[in-house]
Amino acid sequence: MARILLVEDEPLVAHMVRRMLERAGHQVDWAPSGKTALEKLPGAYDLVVCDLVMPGVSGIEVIRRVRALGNTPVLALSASVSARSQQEALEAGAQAFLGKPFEGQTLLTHVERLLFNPRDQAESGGQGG
Amino acid sequence: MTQVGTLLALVLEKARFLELLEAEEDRLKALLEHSQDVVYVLDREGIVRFVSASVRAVLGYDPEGYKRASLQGLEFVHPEDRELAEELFRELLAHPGEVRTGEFRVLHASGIPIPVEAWGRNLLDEPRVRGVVVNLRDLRPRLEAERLKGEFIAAVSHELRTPLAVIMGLAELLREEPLSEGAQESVELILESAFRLKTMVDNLLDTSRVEAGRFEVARRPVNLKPLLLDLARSFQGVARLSGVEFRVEVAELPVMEADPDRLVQVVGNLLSNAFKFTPPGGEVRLAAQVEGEDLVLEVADTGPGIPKEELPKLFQRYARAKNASARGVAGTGLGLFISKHIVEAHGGRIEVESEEGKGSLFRVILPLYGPHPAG
Repeated sequence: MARILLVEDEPLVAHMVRRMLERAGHQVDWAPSGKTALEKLPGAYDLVVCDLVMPGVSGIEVIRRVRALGNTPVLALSASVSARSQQEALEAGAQAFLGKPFEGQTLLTHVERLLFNPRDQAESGGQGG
Repeated sequence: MTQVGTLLALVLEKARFLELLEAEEDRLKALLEHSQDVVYVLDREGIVRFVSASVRAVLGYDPEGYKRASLQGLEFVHPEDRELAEELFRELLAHPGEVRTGEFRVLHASGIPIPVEAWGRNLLDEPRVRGVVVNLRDLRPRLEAERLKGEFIAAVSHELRTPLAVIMGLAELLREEPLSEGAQESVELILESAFRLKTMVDNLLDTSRVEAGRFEVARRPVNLKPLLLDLARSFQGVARLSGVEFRVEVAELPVMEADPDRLVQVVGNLLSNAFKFTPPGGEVRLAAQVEGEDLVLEVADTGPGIPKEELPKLFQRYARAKNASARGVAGTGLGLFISKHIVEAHGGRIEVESEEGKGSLFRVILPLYGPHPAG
């Protein structure tokens, strides 16, 4: 079981992702905005799942803060599936990117990989970006 | 006396006729002057014999100074596009009766390049014209409209993705619950429909990217086999409900550099077409295997087939088989267009074999170890 911070401004998407993660046995803390995420971030999380496009503090800013604070792996989510937004997320310090809509299994595969192998992922993510 | 009278009447009539003629000519000139297009008439040598007064408003040139200049020098065409324009005019002058069109940039008198669409018709053999008519139209309003359309599609498809993610995600969670058989099937169909909607949104967004010249694939090392099997699984419900036999033959595949989402999109497009056109009792087959240094993906169906004359335009944008709309088969006509772009962006090619009444076979050939050397 891992502690996951979910940063997502769409309540319906947040509800769905939360249920997927909880079903897999994880404990989920939901931040409905980038600002809330920045407030919660000093907490001890094993993984951050973060939407990119949000009003106010963007997902990119949240990812940069996570990076500044330490090695916690980040999975970026976005409905904007262009190669550019992927690259932006990876450059900011995310280890993986998942375009919406996605399958639950794909989400969980990414989550498991990042939790068990954060360092490997960070390296391949860095090369990819 | 009467004779003089008749003569006078004739002279007056002629004068009035000439006046009318002049008025008519003025009217035509004014019409052309206020036209958005610039109209040229060239002679056999490519010398400008007429240019509409609109050349002043559109391109900033004095129509008088323009006449008798040779279009063959093409000083008014952007240097980078001169070869293209030259070829167009050469073709045009050489083929009486025919039409040629092209797009290039011309230089406004101020030096600003203006993208134009040229439409030319060789009327040298038409006694009333005896010239080559060339029509130049400023493309900027159209390009601006296309840019806005692209932005609109990108915004819409972005907005569609979020609720789609919720539908797909929650249906997936529901699938894990203990449900009655009927409810289980309904959930499967919700998932499949959402998947189809996702493919359509992807195709739409990609088409606008291709149009804007911003289409790209993000390659990474990937084994396509599990992805193809997942994709095939998502078509099982459709197969069962439409009474179509679905054969899946995916061999062991090596890891290759590819954009997995895009290739799944291609095979999804092909399978979705195959199921759309295959009647109950028919068969759809998905096969993947390595042949030499290529990965070969095949999607075959036993549908009505594609008429020979429609094969060449099958991969064009918005092209839909004639019998598709007649049979009430839905579609945007974008799937094959975008699939071809994706496959070519991977250095591969897509082929089709089809026989009316027998079915169709689509084959995607992808180089496993990077694009083939040119030639």
